[in-house]
Amino acid sequence: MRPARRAAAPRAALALIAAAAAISCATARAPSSVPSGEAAAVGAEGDPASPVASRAEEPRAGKARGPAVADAGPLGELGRSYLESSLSRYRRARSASGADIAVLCLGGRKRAALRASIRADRSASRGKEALVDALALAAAVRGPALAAALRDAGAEAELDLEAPGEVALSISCPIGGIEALSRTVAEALASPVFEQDSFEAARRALVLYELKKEGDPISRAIAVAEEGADDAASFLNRITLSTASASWKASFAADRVAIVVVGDVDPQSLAEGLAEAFGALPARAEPSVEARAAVVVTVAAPVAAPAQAEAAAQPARVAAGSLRSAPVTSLPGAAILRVEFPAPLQTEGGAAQSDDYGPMLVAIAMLGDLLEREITAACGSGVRVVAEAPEDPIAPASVTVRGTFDRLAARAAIERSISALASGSCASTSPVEPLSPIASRLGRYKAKALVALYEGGSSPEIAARVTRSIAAGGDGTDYFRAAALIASVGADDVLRAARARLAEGSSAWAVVGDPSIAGGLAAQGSR
Amino acid sequence: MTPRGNAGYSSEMKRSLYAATLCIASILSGGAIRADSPEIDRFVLGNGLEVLACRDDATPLARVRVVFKAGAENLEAESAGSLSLLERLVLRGLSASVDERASGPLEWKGYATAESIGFGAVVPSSELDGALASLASVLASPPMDALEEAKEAAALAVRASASDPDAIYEAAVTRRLFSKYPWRRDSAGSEKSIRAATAESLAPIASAYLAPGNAALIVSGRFDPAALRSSVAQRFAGWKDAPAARRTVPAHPKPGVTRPTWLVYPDPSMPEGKGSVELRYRGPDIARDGAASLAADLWSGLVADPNGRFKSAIFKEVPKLSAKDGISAGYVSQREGGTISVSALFEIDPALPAAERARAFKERVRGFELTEMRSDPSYYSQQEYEAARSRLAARRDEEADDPEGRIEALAFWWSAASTDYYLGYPSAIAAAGPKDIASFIDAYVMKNLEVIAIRMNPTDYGRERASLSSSGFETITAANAFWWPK
Repeated sequence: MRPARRAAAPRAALALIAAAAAISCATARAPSSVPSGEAAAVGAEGDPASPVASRAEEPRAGKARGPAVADAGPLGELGRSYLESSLSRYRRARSASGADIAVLCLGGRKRAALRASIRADRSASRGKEALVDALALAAAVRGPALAAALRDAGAEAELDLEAPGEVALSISCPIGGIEALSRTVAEALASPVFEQDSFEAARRALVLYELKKEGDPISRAIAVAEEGADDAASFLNRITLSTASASWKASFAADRVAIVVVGDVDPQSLAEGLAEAFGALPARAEPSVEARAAVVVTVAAPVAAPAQAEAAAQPARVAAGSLRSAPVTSLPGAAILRVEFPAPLQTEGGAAQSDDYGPMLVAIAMLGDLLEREITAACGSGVRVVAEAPEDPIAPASVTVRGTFDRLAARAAIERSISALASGSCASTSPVEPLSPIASRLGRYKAKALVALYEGGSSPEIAARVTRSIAAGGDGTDYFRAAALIASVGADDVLRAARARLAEGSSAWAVVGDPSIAGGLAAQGSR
Repeated sequence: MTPRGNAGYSSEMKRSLYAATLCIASILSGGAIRADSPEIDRFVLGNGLEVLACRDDATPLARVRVVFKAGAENLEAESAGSLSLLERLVLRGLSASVDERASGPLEWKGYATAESIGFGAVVPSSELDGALASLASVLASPPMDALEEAKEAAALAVRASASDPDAIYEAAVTRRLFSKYPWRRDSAGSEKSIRAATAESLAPIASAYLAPGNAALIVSGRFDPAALRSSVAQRFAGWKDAPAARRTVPAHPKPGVTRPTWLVYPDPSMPEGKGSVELRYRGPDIARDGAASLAADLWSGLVADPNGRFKSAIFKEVPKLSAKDGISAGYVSQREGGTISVSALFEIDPALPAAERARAFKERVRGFELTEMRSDPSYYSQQEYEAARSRLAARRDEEADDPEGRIEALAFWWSAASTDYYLGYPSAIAAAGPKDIASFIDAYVMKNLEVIAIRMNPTDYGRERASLSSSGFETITAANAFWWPK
């Protein structure tokens, strides 16, 4: 067999074997808050006339969200043609119960990816509700009917807890089995059978995963920066079958569900078939938020004082200039420094899109190169830097510095890099003059931002991008539109985003590592 | 294969002790493998360059990779590491190359292994032609001007490997298993051979092996097929081949060792209280025994099931193994250096010395399970064979559906075997069965000798040092692990 590729990306999914039903669990991370988001519009031109739209709708490219596509160059033409061809293969529908359905045809793909996403509800905070959702979903899909259907279809399935604002069941199966499997998933979600054995198996897998995650410094840094659930394993162990079942019944509703299929399928007929299959999901049950919060507070009570439990029910957010630290023993003499910048969407008062999304993609590409140079000069060549642009409008941007021995130097390097960018400079290619005006290298960095955004491209990854777009209140097409969005970015846009969101906007700083380093940086206080 | 990029990733392939425990479980059944007809536009230029183009419109990107059937396998001890140096030099040239059709220097990555060397980039589709132009220009005349810098970086990497526990363990096992030509499995080379390299010594190696008749150019993603053909012909047709300069290499002996060889590595990366034991054999080489290599792949699919007979019996019969999913078994396909490995994690227990545990593990794996698997055609049912074939097919399809996975799969199989081998793989696996498995086990396990290696924390090792030594275990250290003297 071909040697396996080594997983190296700090946020790559970690999978756990879950024997009973081929359900494994991907990386968890705390959800970011999302707007309540009624059913997504089609093609960004308004909701279908009827709230019940079982007929698949063809989206339109006409009103691209964000800045107008003004770039007439090759990148602009590429963005336009990519958007048009993607939209021509994309269909949306909505089930009678209100579940969002989307299907993308990718010719030549041998397997289909099905993603059943449950959007975080408004009470989601600190990851607790996401954990209850994940456990309930894991238990529900471990029922014998779905397990048998997965086996029969030659399918693989995993829980994806990594995406902000949702928990999702991600299934990959041969094309021929997608319709039957979709129906079984619909039945499992509409009438979940919570059995003690499958519940226990699901909980064991999740607890094991959370324990491993706690020991991983990068996962720890993400959790600290995002105020994720810091006692996830013990929290999971306190959830009972009846608690999980009650939480599910109190909060699960079709309008939190998005079903996305990507593969070599007929998007029109499959979207309509899925709308019908998922029509039996329960419609919204009021007052779900209050009932759900009560369940979570009850479960959290043994470790959280009442005031803390109440605070835990507030939406998660990135506090301005905050800095948190956590010691870990696995990095003797070193630390990981992580900075998160809120997603463009989060500060737009619930607007479905921010004009800063495209510019932020380019700005982060520039920041990465600036920072690599600064960190190498300040901390040596052994320190790794990763600058991650927001994958979608609801994801944060981040910078991670790994293996630094000098916490103050690393922080200063990040601040110098941001300052340079906010002053209108990016890294040059000249060994003599380290900085260039943003405009002089804009084309290169737009190309780099495009590559960073689309470098994946597997069917499950695209399905995840579509569900997250829907979770953000969009129509699922943000992924297709982003290329044109990047092409349209001007130097002034980058400068504006860098100033507003990187230099002057809120950010969350986290440091994990050797207590002497983590403590030392924490002692410096807020930025 | 982890590429070395502008950011300086390591190019070494390493086997991860825990990789198997992190694999996504897949339970598959039924469904015969369908005829495989990937949409690959395949053509060969007059200079021998094979071009494989796979269109996929999922993203606005294109991927380009050139791969050569060249690596440490093609070198002598005195020139070991030369192709890694060339890889660094070409990568540097590519990273500095700016074609007018691109928006600036592209982010190329490179890798050099024992059997292949390659360079690749991911670009907006609108910059594909510029990427091809840069690639053609640099490969036609690999730059040598930064040789001293490349030698320094390569020497640094060699020194770093001497303090990397995984590298030390791998080097030690490989040195024993490929004892006649150990440098042919070490792409990095020795510091001595690297320091000795000159532009004059590298030039003939470059012209022989970094040549179009020894290369495949693979393009995937969003592109215009006609424009691509035209661009490739324009850029690469003038690239000169030198087939006479390439030499064939003798096979690594099998068995790789003259007697079962027992090793123990006091490994600081192992947690206290946990150990691992591995049996490793010289396996089939695709270039020399393709049929056995296919059977070995099918065998890998059979033994992968954590609930199957093989792993269940090992877990049940060998005392205090950590977990069933801590047992790994599989074959690594290579053109010249295939290996078979069965390993397990175990709990350290003073009442059960590690030396005895290793013997029990070997006895159960080789003496019972593989012996039984060879002699009893019903060891695995027909349904289990189908499930194994489906597992292999699913993995292949998943690779093909992932733009990066597809280009990696094509590059790997082209360099390890050929495009025809890759395209014919599904039907070949479908045709393989119990007889082939029995034949493979007979030739590559029963008539073979193994290295048995334990990894344990130095503290645990200290407690068992005497019993390990008296049981014939040789202790691995950084000083004796590598084929070159430290």
